[in-house]
Amino acid sequence: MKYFSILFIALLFSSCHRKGDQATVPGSWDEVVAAGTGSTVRMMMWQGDPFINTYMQQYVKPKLKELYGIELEISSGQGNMIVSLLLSELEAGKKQSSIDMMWINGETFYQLRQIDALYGPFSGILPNERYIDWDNPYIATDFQQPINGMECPWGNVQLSIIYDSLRTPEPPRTMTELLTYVQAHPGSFTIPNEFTGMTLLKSWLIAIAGGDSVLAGPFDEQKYQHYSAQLWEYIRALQPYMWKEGKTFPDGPATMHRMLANGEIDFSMSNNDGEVDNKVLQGILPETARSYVFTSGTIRNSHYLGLTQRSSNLPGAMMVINFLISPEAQFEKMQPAVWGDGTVLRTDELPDNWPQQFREIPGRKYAPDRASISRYALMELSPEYMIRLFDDFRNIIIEGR
Amino acid sequence: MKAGKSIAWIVFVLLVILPVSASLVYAFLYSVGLTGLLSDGYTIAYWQQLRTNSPFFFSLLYSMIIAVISIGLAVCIALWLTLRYGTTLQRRNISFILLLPLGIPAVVAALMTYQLLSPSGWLSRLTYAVGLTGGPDAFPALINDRLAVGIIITHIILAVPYFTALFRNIYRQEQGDLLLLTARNLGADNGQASRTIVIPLLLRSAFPSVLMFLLFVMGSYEIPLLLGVSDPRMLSPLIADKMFRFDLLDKPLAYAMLVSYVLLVLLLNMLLLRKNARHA
Repeated sequence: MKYFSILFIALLFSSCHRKGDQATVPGSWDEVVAAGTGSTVRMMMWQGDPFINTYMQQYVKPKLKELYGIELEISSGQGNMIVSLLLSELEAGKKQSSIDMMWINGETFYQLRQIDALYGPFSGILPNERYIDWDNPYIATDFQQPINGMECPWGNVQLSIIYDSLRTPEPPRTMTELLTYVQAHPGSFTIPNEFTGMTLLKSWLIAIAGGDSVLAGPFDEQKYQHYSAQLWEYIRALQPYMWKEGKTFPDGPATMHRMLANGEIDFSMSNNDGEVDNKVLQGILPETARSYVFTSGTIRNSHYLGLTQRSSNLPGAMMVINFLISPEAQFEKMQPAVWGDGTVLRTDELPDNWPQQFREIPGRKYAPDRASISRYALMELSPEYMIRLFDDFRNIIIEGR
Repeated sequence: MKAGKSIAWIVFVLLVILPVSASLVYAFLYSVGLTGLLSDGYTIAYWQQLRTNSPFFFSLLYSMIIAVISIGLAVCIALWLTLRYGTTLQRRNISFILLLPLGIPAVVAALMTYQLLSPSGWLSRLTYAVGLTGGPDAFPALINDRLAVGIIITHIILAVPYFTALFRNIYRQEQGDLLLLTARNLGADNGQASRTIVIPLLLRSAFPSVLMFLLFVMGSYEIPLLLGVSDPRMLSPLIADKMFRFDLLDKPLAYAMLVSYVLLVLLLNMLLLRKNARHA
């Protein structure tokens, strides 16, 4: 038993802290194609939206099979699950990861870089990378972090507020108007206690600070303390008039969409500014649903595709990413009836007749035009702001400490 | 026979004792910074944080109260059903109906409760239709409420069939009908016979199962996740939140919570089962 215990502890320690077993990848794109064609690629992504799932299952998968003989296996998992999985694999000293690529955004990117779980830089080798709008700061930086080829942009969205125009013909456009509205309509507003809700809080923090340039750059404790105090003061003023008197908060936008449709609340929200069209077409929201952004601004950010450092099929995963950022795949994804996700490409500079095709994508029916909300777009803040806001929202607002 | 017993022990150790012990040791080492990718070395900071600045103990108490109320009510209902309909419950078709809810996954049960008791649920619509309430806002908070009404109701729905089936089997094995008849022949009325003979018998025999179910409710995840409030939270959602949310540096604290909870459950289990064994 004694020897067994020693062996167990030795195994436990020997399996930890192995970093930097970087996977190898062919040097040229031709070599990547030669190695990746006909392979199987395992991707982990959020699968909570039927439109997104249909796009991946009925468009992307067959296309990859047809064009490159690649079998794309999609498993369900978002930010925290991906980080947990890769962290566990690294801690266990697993040589090959169980996934090759994943859909990530800012806070996951930050965490995956913390644990050194991403392969890269890699985006420079992708032929379709030349079409990406790298001059757009909302694409080239992720939560104030230069992406440096460690992830590849896939889509671009802006936080928007969703409401029912029949019940609320004149929705509040500023934080002050929102407070007045909520005081007059108790229970009509709430904040999801997760990523989307924290994105709203960040937008408000920026508005209170007087613009995203004030909080740009690395996390600043003094600035955070100063401006967040005003934010909590504002939310405390809202709190007694919020849904359930601000004593509990929904777990995410899906729950809020349902509550909006049921008439329990007057406002839902989404990180995807095209979400309202998507949800009306799915029958989740009524045709009178609309979306807008606060005039004080809302955060615009991009979502990305990353490769796992210990992927067993980097060439295949690179081919999948290259296809996902192709004009063809981005065009399909951008259509409101498919997904309605903003493109990351410089559409006016695409070859052939792609510029015209992108211009002719049917406009959104229920969401405002992308150009009209762009002037209210705010840059994402450093990831530590979200970590602190999430903790303080729980401590100060939820638990009232 | 002896060889069979030894094999059973080896299988038990390999499949249960070893993985659980290994997980517990790993969780403890993680909580004191002796393992983990982001660890900076040995520290007791997370254990201090657990003691002084975390909602762990309040969540533990909250989970215990919910579990005791849920299981207490479920046991009372199941006892009443067994004593009132003892013979009827033994019929094959009734037995089938009784056992049916046992197959319902917790997440489905939680969603059913949501459909039934939420402000936009069936009951709210019914009360609105008959003019008892003026809309979703006027319907009392039965889910996502601090009193955990929705969580308790869902656990009762899941536990009552199990306990009824359990009590029914014990009642049959111990010849409850005969005991009641004997007691009545000796001059006891129905209430006295049930209170002093059958109920203690059923409860004593079922005690280990009741305790297990109580611990199961204390550690439940999906039901409080869907029907609970943001504060206070039951233990599993609290630990999962610390384990999987945005701050990777919270992981050791989550492991400290996990170790404390498991040790507490094991201790409670040992004490109560030993006490029960002495009285059996």
